[in-house]
Amino acid sequence: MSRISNRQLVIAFLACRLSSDMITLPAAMVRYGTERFYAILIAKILLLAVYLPVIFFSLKYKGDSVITAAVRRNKAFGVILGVIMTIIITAVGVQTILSLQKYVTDTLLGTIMAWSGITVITAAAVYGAVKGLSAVTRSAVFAAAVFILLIVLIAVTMWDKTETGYLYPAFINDGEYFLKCSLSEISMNSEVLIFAVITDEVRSKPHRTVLYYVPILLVLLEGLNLMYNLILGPYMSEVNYPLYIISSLSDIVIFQRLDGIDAVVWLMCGVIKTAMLIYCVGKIYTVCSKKPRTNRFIMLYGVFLIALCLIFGSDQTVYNRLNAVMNSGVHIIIGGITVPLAVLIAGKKAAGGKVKNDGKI
Amino acid sequence: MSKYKKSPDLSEKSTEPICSDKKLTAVLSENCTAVRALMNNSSDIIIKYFSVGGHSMASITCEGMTNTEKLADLIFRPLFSSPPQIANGAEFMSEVALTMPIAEEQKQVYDVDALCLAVMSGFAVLLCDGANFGIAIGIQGYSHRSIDEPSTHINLRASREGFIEVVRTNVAMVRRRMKSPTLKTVMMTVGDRSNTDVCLCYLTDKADEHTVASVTDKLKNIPLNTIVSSEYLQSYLEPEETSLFSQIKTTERPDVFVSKLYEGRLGVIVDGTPFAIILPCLLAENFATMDDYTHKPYFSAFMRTIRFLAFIIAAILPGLYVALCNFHPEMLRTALLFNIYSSIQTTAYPVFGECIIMYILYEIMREAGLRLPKSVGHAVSIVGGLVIGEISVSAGLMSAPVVLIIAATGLCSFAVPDLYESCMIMRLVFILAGGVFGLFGITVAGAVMFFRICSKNAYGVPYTAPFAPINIISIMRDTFCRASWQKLSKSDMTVGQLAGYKKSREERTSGNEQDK
Repeated sequence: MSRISNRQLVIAFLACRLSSDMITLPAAMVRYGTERFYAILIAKILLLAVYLPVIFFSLKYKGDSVITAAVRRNKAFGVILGVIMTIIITAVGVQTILSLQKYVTDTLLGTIMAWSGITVITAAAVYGAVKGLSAVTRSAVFAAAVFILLIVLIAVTMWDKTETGYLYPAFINDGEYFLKCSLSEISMNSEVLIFAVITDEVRSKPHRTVLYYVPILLVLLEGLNLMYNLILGPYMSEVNYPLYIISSLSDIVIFQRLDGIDAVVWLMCGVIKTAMLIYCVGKIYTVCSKKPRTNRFIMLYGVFLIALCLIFGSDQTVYNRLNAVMNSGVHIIIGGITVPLAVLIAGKKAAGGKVKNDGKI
Repeated sequence: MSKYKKSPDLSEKSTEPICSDKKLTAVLSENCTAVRALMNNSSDIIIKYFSVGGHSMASITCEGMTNTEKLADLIFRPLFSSPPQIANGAEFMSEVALTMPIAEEQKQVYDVDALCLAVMSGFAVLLCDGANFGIAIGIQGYSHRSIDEPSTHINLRASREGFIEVVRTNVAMVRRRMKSPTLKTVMMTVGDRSNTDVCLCYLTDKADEHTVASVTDKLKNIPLNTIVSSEYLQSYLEPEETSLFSQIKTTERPDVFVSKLYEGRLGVIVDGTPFAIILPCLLAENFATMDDYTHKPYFSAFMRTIRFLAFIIAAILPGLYVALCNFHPEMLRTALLFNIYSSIQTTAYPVFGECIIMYILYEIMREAGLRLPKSVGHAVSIVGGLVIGEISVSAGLMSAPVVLIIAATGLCSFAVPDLYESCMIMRLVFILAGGVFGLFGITVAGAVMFFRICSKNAYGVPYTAPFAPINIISIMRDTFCRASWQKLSKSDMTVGQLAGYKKSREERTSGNEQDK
């Protein structure tokens, strides 16, 4: 098995999470004011709680993932959990691809046909999944490098355009917005699903991934929010993609604006996230069917994903409903909390029933 | 049964070696006839009969492969002046072999095949009537190019010595730079027909034993008949032959070769070529030169950054230009945009077509200039650079910015010569991607390229290390930057210490296909 380090996974998760923030965050959730600062903080504290079942699992069953442990406990049980996880991951995948396609249409290429955008994005992601987890996570390092470069360029070029007057004393004006924002922040963390599936592919101490990832993410998101407030101020809720707009205002010597580079970064991160999701489905299939990992299955799944995206993307109402369901965080509750807890409880019952297998379920 | 091939057809694709399992007999004439027969009565095989101390003897040499002065001084003179007084032919030959150490390299041969191989390698073989073995004496004296400055990887301050075509001289150059008992050289013969000498070099305390075993195994099982260049072996030693980026490096420089051995790598020197193979190779190594270690660290860091930048420009600039002109003109500065659009308006082709045509023309000019004699090559440069470049713009066939961009990318790609081939293909891919989908296409093509590069592991070492998996210490030590010698000398670093290194054979062979 190709193993990766927890640091590699942290970078890949950051790429996934930040791309969600840049691509899928609705304008209504990025309002001017201090609520979002607190919402991000609260959401990240809650996020640690969301990760707790998987952390407990990884500490108790070292070298196992949720699905491998479930299959070992009982094949039928494992297959059921595998199917549930596949459905959830597929839903996240569809949402990601459609959001990416929409982002591309809104920013880079307004003339692109929806089907061609979806096909190209999915094909690239399938290729990444075929190349393996280590290839995808290593690619995330390069995406992260471009992101850092972008932020530095923006910081340098926009320094004179910041308005500290936009920051006012911190208090919560709108409780409802605060709650919605917090929920939205949690629901975007679909990395917990990936983490639950690939825990066994982390070389050592997988729980440390979360311990590094959440604080870094908190700092990055708060920093980005601060940048939005300082530069955009009251116009924040007027725009769909705040960082894209800020980039378009940036003027470096070579380029008049940086929005193209900004779009490139998030598109790249989105492809990485989709590749990881497809890889996870391939992994679930391998574990549940007990067959060696085949590229053919991943390619077939890619075609299935394209078909689903075309169906969901063809109707704006369906797409909006899908987004509403995903924004409620139900996928996190089921895939990130319930499934690992179910495996933990099953393991405890098995241990109670004196089924011992060297610490394994 | 004899396996002689009377007239071996060298063009036929056969893995069967020209060999004979025939043993030498005690009859001199039979042995000489057997040699003649195996060598197809080749005119360059010289058999000289003579008599010493009452024994009929013969010396077998290959014309031009032995040093005739040494033959006279080291073999004939002592043999004729004080021959052992023994009547039995076999005992006489044993005595000659024992008491007359006439050359450093000396061995006994017992079959016709080994005898012929020795003769073709420049040995002189002595045969005696009554002895069923011969004495092969290493007095090679073939003419070869003297040690000269390498034609590639020219440096300002580093050594001026480069490898030559003789494997033993090359091994000596390596040993001269690494007088350590841990430097091990393993000589082997590869190629069923060419019997090319190949030397595997490594430091026993630095190189990984699995890698050594794996490379040795691969070298021994190369099914080629002839090997005339190190590139022939490269495709067998490389994990992925069809890959865009090579995980094996070739060098003409013994100093580079030795420094790579010290980093735990393996080197393969092939007879007949001055290009030695180093493996495994990392992407980042293509941006380093020997001069980086002779200049001040800050200058080295600057030059490496320039090379990284040159590579990025060489790979994506034409594609980026096409994408920006066709899909994202708002990113260009207003003045630049006006200039570009005024040029485009006067040309016959769209930017995408212009870029492709100019790029192909450039590559044709480069290829033509490369293969021609130097004097004609200059003419090609003048015709290509001045006439085609200048006239195509003034005739309105090409726009000046496209000519400038293709010329600039060509120049940039020469800054990283080891990656020229990869860069050439990447550039074409990015032009196509940028022309069809703009920045969206370039991003997706870039993502695919990253997935491909990042999936590569050569002998357990991630190709993109130390960037990905990231290792900040290695990056700051000797990748983007080059730490001072005081800092570098504090600790050695080998490829085995890089993040993501797979030590065990199981780890290397398991997982997805790319990790195998």
